[in-house]
Amino acid sequence: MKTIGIPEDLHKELIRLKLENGNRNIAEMIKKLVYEHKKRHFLGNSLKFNEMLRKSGKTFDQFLKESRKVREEIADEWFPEE
Amino acid sequence: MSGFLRNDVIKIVVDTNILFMAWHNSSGKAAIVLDKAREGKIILYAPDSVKEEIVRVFKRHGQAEEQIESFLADFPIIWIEKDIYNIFLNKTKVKHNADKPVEALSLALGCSILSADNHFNICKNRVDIDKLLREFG
Repeated sequence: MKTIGIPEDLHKELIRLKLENGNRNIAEMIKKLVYEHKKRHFLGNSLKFNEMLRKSGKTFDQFLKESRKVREEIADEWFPEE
Repeated sequence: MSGFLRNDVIKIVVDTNILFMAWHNSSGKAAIVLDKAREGKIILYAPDSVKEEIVRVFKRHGQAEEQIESFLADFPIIWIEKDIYNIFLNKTKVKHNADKPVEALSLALGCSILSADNHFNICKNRVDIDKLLREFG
């Protein structure tokens, strides 16, 4: 276990949120906040990915084929067949 | 308990296609599986060659280093260096050289493969995505 120092008003806010969300403890609540943050981060990147794809003018299948070629290129460089 | 379950946490090796599929369809099956990893219900592994592939593909699509790092931070993947799975490369069943790192890593770690690529059908330790999702009800 580790202890972190936070301002009193933030502590009060966390306690209020814990009660509001019915979490067993602050650690459980923070874990859920971290999970939600990561999920939002992923959803943002999903939008960026599809925007990148749209700009390239390629379909997803074409994109995967292109990626396959890169995979082969890496295999040839890293694991040359004897 | 299924064969790919170890100590109540599922450990799987993923390939690049699964990650790209999740970004492409954020509510699809691949994204759901990766979400389970975020919840700590699955441990994801991938060879360093998968990371290199993602980096090269994104670079060729003009993505900045920072953005690529941001993409890679989306999933809690444990990246494994080739020194760990190298000796298993010649024990693989997949035909194509490009698919060998994923299977070799699965053999090195003794866990299943999750891939959307039919090339892995030959592998006995390949896990079906629907079957995997059923584990979570």
